[in-house]
Amino acid sequence: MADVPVIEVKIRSKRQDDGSVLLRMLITHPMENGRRKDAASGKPIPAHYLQETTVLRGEQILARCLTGPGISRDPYFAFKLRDGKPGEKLRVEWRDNLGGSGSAEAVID
Amino acid sequence: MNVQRRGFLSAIAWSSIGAWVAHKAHGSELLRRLWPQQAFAADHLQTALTQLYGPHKPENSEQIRLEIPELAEDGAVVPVTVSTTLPGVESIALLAEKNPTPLLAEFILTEGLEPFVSTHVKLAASCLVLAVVRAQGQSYSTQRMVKVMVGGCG
Repeated sequence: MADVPVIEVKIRSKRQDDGSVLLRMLITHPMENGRRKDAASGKPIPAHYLQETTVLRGEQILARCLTGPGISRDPYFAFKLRDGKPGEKLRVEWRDNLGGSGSAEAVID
Repeated sequence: MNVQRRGFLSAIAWSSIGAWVAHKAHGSELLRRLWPQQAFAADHLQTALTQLYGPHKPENSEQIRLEIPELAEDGAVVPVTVSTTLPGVESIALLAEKNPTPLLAEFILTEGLEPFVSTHVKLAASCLVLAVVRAQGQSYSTQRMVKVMVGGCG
């Protein structure tokens, strides 16, 4: 698949007043719904969207985002971690409908 | 304590343990479940809800806070935040009534997280947006009308 874009995940964490840690993720992904046509060629653009993004702490799953093409381009997800400790490592793994996948790590500030 | 009464209390104890086990089992089942293809393919709101929650309609709840603009200029990027005071939250789903496929996302949450999620969604047209929370095996919902100026091809 030559036209698969470079996909990157950015994770930021910020401690909140209530002690929780706000975890924000930005994933570069086209989130094509398969209903659009290419403006130049007029050919339909195939559906290409994230289906699953998993947030892990070690081996433990914290959250699963099951998504369809109704999530905006370059998906943004935010969660609140109850007891995130500074220096703790988190991992995000994603998978899309065309078999693309990847992961990224972040350390809590 | 007579035998009948003991049997009755024991039945209560076992059924509550059963419910607790079922609740825990349900939570871990959600962690393993595959991407719900039929729910995402559903082209009607009710069909998507039935696929996710079965025949029982989610109960309207004031304990869910759905933050979304009343007026969205660009339907391609509409910020949504859901939080709830319901205990035992297992998942939070977002649906848009008028999108070609109404189910936008289902977030499966564990005890390490606050019952909170924030994301950006596409809205094809002005319509109702629903947040459905599954908590302790029951489903609850709340909804907001969103006016969309330019549809976001959901």
